[in-house]
Amino acid sequence: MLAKRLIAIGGLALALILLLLGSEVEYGQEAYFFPNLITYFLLVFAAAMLISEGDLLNWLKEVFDFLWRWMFGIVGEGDPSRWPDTVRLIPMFVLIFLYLYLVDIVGMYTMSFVTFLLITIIYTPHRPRSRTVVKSTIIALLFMGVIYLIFSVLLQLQTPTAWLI
Amino acid sequence: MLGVERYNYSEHLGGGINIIAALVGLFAIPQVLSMLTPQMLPGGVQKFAMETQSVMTSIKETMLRWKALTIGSFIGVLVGLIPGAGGQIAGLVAYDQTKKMSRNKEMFGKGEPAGVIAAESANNAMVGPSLVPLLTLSVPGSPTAAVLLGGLLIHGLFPGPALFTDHAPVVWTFINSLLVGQLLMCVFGIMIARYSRFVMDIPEFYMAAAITVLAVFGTFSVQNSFSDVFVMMTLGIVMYFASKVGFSPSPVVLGIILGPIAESNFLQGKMIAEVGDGTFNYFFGGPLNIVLVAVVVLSIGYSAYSELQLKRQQRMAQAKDDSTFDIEEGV
Repeated sequence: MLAKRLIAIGGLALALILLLLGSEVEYGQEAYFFPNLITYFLLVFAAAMLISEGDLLNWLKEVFDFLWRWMFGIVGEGDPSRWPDTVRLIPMFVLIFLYLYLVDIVGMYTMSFVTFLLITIIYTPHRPRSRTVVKSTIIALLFMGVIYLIFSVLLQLQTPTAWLI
Repeated sequence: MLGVERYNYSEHLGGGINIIAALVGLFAIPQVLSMLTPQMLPGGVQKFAMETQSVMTSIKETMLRWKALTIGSFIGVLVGLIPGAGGQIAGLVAYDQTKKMSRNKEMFGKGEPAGVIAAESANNAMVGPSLVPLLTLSVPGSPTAAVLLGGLLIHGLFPGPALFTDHAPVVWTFINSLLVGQLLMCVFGIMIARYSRFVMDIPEFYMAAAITVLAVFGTFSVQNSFSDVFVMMTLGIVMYFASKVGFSPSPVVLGIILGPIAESNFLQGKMIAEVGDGTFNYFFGGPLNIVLVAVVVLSIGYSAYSELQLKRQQRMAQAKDDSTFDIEEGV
């Protein structure tokens, strides 16, 4: 029920933003005709969804509580099967960011190897010891060997020139 | 069609959203992120005990419940023909109908095999018929059909009535391969099941790392573009959070695939209409247009009606629970 309310509010906000972006253009207004038309449909459906749920003030409170729990109720609060553990995923988001940022500077295969290795070390359920790190390194090397064979040797994929491969 | 750039606030969006990048991002990355959350990582590995003779037992169990199998298959075929309905709806409708017709209604939801058989047979039965709206109207009836539509478009084949005349050999090869594929899947599926279960022994964090790397390489290799990789990752992370509040990736994929087709055809129609009978008469006149508009209105109306019915049932169930609680409490 709360998810539907969030979808309704999200849809409404998205429709309003898109309409705003699609109306304040200097030239090529014609190109925004179809997106604006679709956005009006989105607006109508989101508004209908919002109205059908009723009790607007109570909603806003529930939505606020939900977002609060979602962002800060990391441990011990809420239903763990529903709320994402945002903090646990932060290293993954940082890794993805660094991967994409450094991939054409350091090298695609090298960065892929490093990312693979770091994911397995950070997210292993056991305490990372030298043995597990060595095991992860060997697996990452083997995996990247297969990837290199498929993409570079067989498919002749051209990767950008960087410091390393 | 108009040669005007729009909504491209980043250099990465200059070439639009590539369908492969969108598919990988929307389906693979949320799965990777889910694998790394604690509820998916109890010990890092999911263990399964292999049961012997389970194939014959399950076939026997299914055949004994032929009524649920028939209802599920029939409803699956009907729902598959409706564009955009999907396997979940087929499964739910079949489950609901089987429950209504069953003598053991109270056992549904507590492990009644007939419920599982009905839902699963409907889910499988809708796959073939979902290709009917895809190949004739270019409207996919399921997420799988949407992916197939993407595949056809990549090869320059635009589904529609003309597909059967202009590219008849391709269409029949496509349909026959599905038939052969079903038979081979049955044979190889049973043969490989014994060994493919070992994939489940791979710890989740290794799977997550491997899928991340494969997603990046797979997306990059399509156009040798890092912009596609950025778009893929962004869509994936957004979809992960969106899926937590009930969003499904399938409608997004449908929008990305069908949006450009709908827009170019709509603008073409609008141009023709402006020099002819006028926009309203062009789009809402003639029997075919009226039928299609009626189908759209009925489809949306039915969805809204079903939603209201569901809410009403939930309210009634809640009221019933409250009154039972009051009686038990002696109020």
